[in-house]
Amino acid sequence: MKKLNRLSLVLAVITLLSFYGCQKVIDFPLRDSETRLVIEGTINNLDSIQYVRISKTKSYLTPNTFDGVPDAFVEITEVLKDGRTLIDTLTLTDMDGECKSCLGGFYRSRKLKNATPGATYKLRVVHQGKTHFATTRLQEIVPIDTLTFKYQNANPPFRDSTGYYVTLYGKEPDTSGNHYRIKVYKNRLLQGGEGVPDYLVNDDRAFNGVYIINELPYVFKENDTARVELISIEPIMYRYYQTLIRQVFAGGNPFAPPGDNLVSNIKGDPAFGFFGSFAISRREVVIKKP
Amino acid sequence: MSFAQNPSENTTNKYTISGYVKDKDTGESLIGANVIVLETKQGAVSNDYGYYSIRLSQGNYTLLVNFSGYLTDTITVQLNTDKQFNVNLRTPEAQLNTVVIEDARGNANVSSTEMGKEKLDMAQVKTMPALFGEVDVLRTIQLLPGVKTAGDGSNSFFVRGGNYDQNLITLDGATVYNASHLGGLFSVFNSDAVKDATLYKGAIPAYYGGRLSSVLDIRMNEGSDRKFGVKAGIGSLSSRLMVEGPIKKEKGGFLITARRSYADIFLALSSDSIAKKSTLYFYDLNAKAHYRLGEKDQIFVSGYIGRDVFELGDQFGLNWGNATATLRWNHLFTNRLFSNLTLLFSDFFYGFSINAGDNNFKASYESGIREAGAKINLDYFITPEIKVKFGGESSYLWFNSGEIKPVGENSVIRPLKTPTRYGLQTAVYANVEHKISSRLTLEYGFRYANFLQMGEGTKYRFDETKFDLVRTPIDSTVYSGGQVMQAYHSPEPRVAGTFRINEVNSVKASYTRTGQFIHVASNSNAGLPTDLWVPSTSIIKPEFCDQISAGYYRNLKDNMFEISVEGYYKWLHNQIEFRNDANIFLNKYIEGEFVIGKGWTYGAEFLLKKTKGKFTGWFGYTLSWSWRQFDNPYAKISNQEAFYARNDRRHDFSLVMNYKLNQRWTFAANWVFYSGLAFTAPTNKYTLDGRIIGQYTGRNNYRFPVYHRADLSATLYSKEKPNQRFKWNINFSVFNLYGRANPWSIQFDSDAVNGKAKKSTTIVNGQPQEVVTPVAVMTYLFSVVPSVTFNFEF
Repeated sequence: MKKLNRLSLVLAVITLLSFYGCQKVIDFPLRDSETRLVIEGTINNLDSIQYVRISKTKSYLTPNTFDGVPDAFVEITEVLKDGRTLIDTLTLTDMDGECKSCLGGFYRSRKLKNATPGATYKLRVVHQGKTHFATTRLQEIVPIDTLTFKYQNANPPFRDSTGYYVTLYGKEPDTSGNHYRIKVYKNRLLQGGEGVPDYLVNDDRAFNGVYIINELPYVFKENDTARVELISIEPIMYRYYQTLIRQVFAGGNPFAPPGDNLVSNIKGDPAFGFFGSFAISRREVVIKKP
Repeated sequence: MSFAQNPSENTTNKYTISGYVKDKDTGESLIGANVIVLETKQGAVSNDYGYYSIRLSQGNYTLLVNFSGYLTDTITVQLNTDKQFNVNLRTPEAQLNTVVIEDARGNANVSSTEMGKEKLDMAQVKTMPALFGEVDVLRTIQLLPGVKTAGDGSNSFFVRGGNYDQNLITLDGATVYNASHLGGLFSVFNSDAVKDATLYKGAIPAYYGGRLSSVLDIRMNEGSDRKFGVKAGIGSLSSRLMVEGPIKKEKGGFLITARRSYADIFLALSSDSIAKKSTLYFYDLNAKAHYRLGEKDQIFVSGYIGRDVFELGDQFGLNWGNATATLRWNHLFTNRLFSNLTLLFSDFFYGFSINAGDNNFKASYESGIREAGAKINLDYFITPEIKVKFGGESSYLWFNSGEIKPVGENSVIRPLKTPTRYGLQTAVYANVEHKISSRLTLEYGFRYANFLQMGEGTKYRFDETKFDLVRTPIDSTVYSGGQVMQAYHSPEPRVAGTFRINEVNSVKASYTRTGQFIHVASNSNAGLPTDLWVPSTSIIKPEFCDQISAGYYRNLKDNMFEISVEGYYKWLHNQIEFRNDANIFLNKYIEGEFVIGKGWTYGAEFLLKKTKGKFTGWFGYTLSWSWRQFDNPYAKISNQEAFYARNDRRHDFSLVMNYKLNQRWTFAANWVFYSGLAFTAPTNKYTLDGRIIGQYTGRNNYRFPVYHRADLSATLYSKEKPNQRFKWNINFSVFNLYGRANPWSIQFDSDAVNGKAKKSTTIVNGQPQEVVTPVAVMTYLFSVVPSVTFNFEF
């Protein structure tokens, strides 16, 4: 939670600014810049259908509607640890996915099912004469041993309200260089703020090889179902999340460093986005008065 | 007597006439006064303590002494032995019995070698628009060509494309690290007590060093050794008081000034509930004394302390402060060799505190820099054609890179301090002003500077090919206190020349090399004092600059108009910039966050001044470019391509006008116009995981809208009565007369709920859907700011 130190300091400075100065909306002509493809996809071990989403960049001061790209060629090659290969061409689907305000551009797998830890997945996208590649390797699953819950009093800034808090237990592997993301669901709803998911990401420098005991910062009430996913991710995906957090956080903060583009693992002709993999260990617990 | 009529024939006996040029009324020494020998058309210029010395052959001479704002004095001297002669100049308000002689100084801009030097005429500065009741030295400097401001909210300035940490500002010899008060409306210099302010932006003489782009040398009054005086001003935004007087008549004097603002009055008028409870003020205090210990010795003591406080409700506080102290000793070794020894101390801190939420989260943060050292300077007036200045300086520096402390018992913040860094900066120099012929004058010199990063400390080594999100060292070496961690040298040749085509025309050219061992790490687009001072280390290299400049100067209509055009080119080496994702907050590995690159700037400055008559003022225009490039292939700053520096402003106009209607009314006005600062903004956007992500094409790819502003002031003076000591004036001023909203920062706002983004509804797949369109939001600090001040003195 060292993030909170910096978080509130920056928040305080933002509030300072918004009262210290007056604001007005101005016309601001942005330059034209070449439209680029945005490729987003995360392979995981739990779902039997894998998705990749393709969309496009657009000028910043235009409405926040993002059209999908329906005419791309999308292919994933799976290479298992024993060398067996599977090539799958993904097809356009009309599913809307987890996002608001988005309009398709989703491609689904046909032959490829749940991903296998240790296997490598190579993505190839071809669109309007340009080719884009990315590779991701599914990490080994780090299992959640158990989830417990306890009624706690509010204690800002760690616990916003009084209620039940869930703690995750698991054994961190002795190898160093593991990276994680944790997703928490309350009654099947992914927790986050303002309709977008939170990013709880960590590396293992502070707790390599130890038994993880992590209290999650979300409050539950009786009869809620808490689902926790402990996801192992590649180091480069962790870096991608950090640039994502940095950008999202810095929005509106004039004291932030000059903005820069997110880390991307898409190669070939220039494109944005990230093609990653989640090795998920999932557990659920129903909150009941003891 | 008749033998002495042709002094040039008698070359065997040479004698020196020397002494101090002072204000007759207050006893203040006058810096840069001209003492000209009519017969030989040569002379001397009084030094930083008002001392002059001229060596001539035996004979009779007529000396003309003049200084702007004073009546010229004529002295006849029978030079048959060394003579000490103090000259006391009168201001025009004083008794008038002297005949006013042609102002020979009027040609000084054409004849002096100093290029890119602006000596602020304090008499003229006092006629500038007195905004908020006060004229201000830094505000005036920013109206000169070649000097660009950072905009509203700060007094930081950029000279000829250099970063704002490349300006050396000194107060009586001690370094001032932050010369701005909150809001940038006031500087830390109380103009009632400023004696001299000189800005060097081009040919910086060898006796100054340590910063690349400019030197602003400010000298305050020392305190009258003749009479008591009080000057005060009570205004709608701030008030000030100055008291001075003799300690012993004609031997010593003291000076105390104090100033306090109460700008929070603004905030109390705000409709916002938090702004209502906020405070915003600053104060300054100066105390000085001097005493003459004998014919040859004089000592001076001075101190300054200032503080700024801003508190937002009871949630958040910002404060910073400066303190300086000097102890100076002047000693005359001979009547031609004047020396000054200065012991100096400077301290700057910046801090903020948070009381947000509840007791659990109270914390205070502080960072800063401290300096203690000594300087010795000797002025050797060899002959009227050759004057040499030589000496040395050394100071020890402490760099506090940030410390956070919990406040109160319940705070969950853990104390954290980044290790202090230390440095020892030393330099020796020699500078010669050499009048080679009646037309050609050269100023040449050499400065050798040295910097040692001292322990205790840890020297880190980083993998040069990796610029990961968190950059940690691969190697470290620990040094104990007193050990030298790193050493750097800077040999700095300086040369400038003036060629006088005739009495009213001249051309000048110069080459200057400067070095800088301390730097400000700044991570913002908006210019804030969250900036950190850091020393040069094994990773952060010293910066160097090579500057060439050339110019043409001309006086018209009997020195009523001065015109100059000056062009320059600067090569900036080892410029520092933060890498992408830099973390400068409480990071002990902060050195790894820097990337080293280069810069180059060039431009032309045009100045037209009218110095005489009821109507005076100037018009300045600068056309310039300022570039940076970081071609480190691993750091990936702006694709390793050249990009505009943040301070790149193509056009910069300033118009300053002063009109003295009669004895009672004076009006003044400014108008400034300049191209917008460069800043970084996204060009395109896309969506990832439900979020909107910006795409950036490079650093500083956009510009703020143009900045322009007019200020006006009118001053009513009390009637002049003979023998009346009590005088007053009332100043009415308006800052930003037509209320232009000038940009302080620009963000793109995508928040349609709490922010200003636009909301609309479209039909998607037959369903109505709410759509948000981001807008560009500009934050500006000031609209029209009027003020009234009542000033008086006795």
